[in-house]
Amino acid sequence: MTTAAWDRPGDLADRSRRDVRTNWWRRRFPWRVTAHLGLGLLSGVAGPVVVLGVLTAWGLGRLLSRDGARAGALRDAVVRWSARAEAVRFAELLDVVIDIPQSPRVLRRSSEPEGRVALNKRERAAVGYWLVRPLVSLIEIALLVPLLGIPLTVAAGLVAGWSGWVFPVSDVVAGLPASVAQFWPVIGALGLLAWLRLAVAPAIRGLGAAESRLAGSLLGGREALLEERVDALTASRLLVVDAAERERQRIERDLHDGAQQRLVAMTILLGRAQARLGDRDPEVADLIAQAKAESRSATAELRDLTRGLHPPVLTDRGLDAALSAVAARSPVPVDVVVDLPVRPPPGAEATIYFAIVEALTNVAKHSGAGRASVAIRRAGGIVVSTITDDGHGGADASRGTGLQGIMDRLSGVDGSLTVVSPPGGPTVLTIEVPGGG
Amino acid sequence: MVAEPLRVVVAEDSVLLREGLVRLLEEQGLRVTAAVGDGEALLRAVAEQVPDVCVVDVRMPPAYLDEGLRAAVVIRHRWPQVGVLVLSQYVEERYAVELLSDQPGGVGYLLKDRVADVLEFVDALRRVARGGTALDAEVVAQLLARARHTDPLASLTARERQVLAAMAQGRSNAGIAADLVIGEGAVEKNVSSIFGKLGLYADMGEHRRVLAVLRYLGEGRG
Repeated sequence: MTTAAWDRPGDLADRSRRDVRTNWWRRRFPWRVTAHLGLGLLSGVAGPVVVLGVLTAWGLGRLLSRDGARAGALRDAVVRWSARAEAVRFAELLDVVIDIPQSPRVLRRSSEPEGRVALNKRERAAVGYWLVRPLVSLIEIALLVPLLGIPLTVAAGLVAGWSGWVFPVSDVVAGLPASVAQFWPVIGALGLLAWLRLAVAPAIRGLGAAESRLAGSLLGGREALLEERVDALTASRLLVVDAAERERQRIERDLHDGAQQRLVAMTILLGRAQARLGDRDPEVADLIAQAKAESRSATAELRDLTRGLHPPVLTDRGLDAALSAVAARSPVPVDVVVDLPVRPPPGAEATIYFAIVEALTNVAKHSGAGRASVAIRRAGGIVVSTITDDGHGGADASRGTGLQGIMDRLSGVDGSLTVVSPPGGPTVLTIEVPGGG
Repeated sequence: MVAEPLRVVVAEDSVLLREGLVRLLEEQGLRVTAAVGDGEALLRAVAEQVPDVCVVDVRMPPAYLDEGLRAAVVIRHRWPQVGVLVLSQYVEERYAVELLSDQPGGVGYLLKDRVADVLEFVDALRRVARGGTALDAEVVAQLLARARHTDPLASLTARERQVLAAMAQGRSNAGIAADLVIGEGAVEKNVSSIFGKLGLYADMGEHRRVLAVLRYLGEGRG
């Protein structure tokens, strides 16, 4: 993305300080663009060197794959610094700003662990730019040399002829009427100026613009960078979902191994106390019975809590077993059919599980359904879950928090929810989650 | 039966619970021949001692997933004479089906905190050791929930279903009568009605009870 400034009127403060005539000339002939193109010749020469640098770094990365990370960093530096040097030329002489992307180091770390050997899109674009760069210089020379050279040669010839060095101009001018002939040097000079203004200046501006566009799209690489960012963000978001899921699993296990075991152990102790006491002291026995009942309900509450965090059977046996248990506890009869030859990754699996649990809770609470069914299958890389109930329909995602909750859950893994729920039913929810493989 | 104490192997990774269980069982006059902390050790202990029954925790090292359950399935397959009572913080219908799928009897699956009802727990353990079943009320509820809309179980009345659930837990007619606060005669009537509806006839003898239970467990599986 570039910002062009040379075709705008000059800076006001600048203009007032200068001689009007100089200003006129400056405004009308793109000197700085010309200088830019001239310096571009250097870039044209430097281009192949840069390409060589990137490719060397790339080759090193391939050869010494153990140190791929370092080679990757070197290559990254070559690409970035060469692009920055080039951007200076555009900024100083054309006032064109080329955004040289900062390489997204932090984002890259987790998704591309080590030894990244393939060139990414941005690096390929940069290599392309530096390969094309000498060609650009050649094309510019091929265009500008005749554009400038022909009139200058003609002018030089005329001057030489006029002063009688080479051939008498009078021979040429002789055919013209005397009134015109006597002004020919003036006409010639005006013609040259007009040529410079009308042909050369636009050509130079055009070349400057073309160069800016080329550099902007290949070096600026804003879009490529955005694509990279989107990829990295998608990957890191999945990692966040996975991390959250692992964290829930860890809490579940900690509770299971800790508080839950202790509570059960305590309940068992109370049971033993009860058994030992027998019917010797009914009042104490009654107290123990109460204590046992309390610790029992605490155990049950904790069990519901930890199961809600992450049911272990989901990890052990997958969606079919976990959802069968959910279906078994549902007040509305639910048929579960899971047809997944390969289990989805844990994050996706847990998301699907909790989304369906939420959906079935909705069915039981709001639908008035007599029965429901859950079908899960794979379509390409997508796990498609369909939850159908024979209730009164009219479910609306914009009202009520249940469906919104499902959507929130799904958004973390790039999933989607479709609700078809005409008044009178039936209601069909379709949940799609990318599931690898 | 009174003559010799029941020989029990306990597999539970939590030291606290393991000690509690061992003490409890010994107080109740059973003999704990080994107390181990993981599935491998359990299999070794069973192979060496061939106990009457083992008490097995589902989640044990190394992965803390379902090691105990897997070991229980192996024991039931390799040593059919050894009763297996599985204890867990959660009861899972799927685990129950896996436990029961091989053969009827000699198996139990209870929530851990049921152990606190000491007399009932020891009773369940003895039943399993004798080749009976002991399923947690919650397991049965889950299996029933899955089975309730599949024929012929759909034809059972609510009371019959209650009776069948109690049978699945391994209760005797007298126990069922006490549980449901009805007369023993009424229980017998319900039981024979269940047998009739499930197509189980008198010449099948004592096994009708087990078969009735398995019938709906089997339906739950399908």
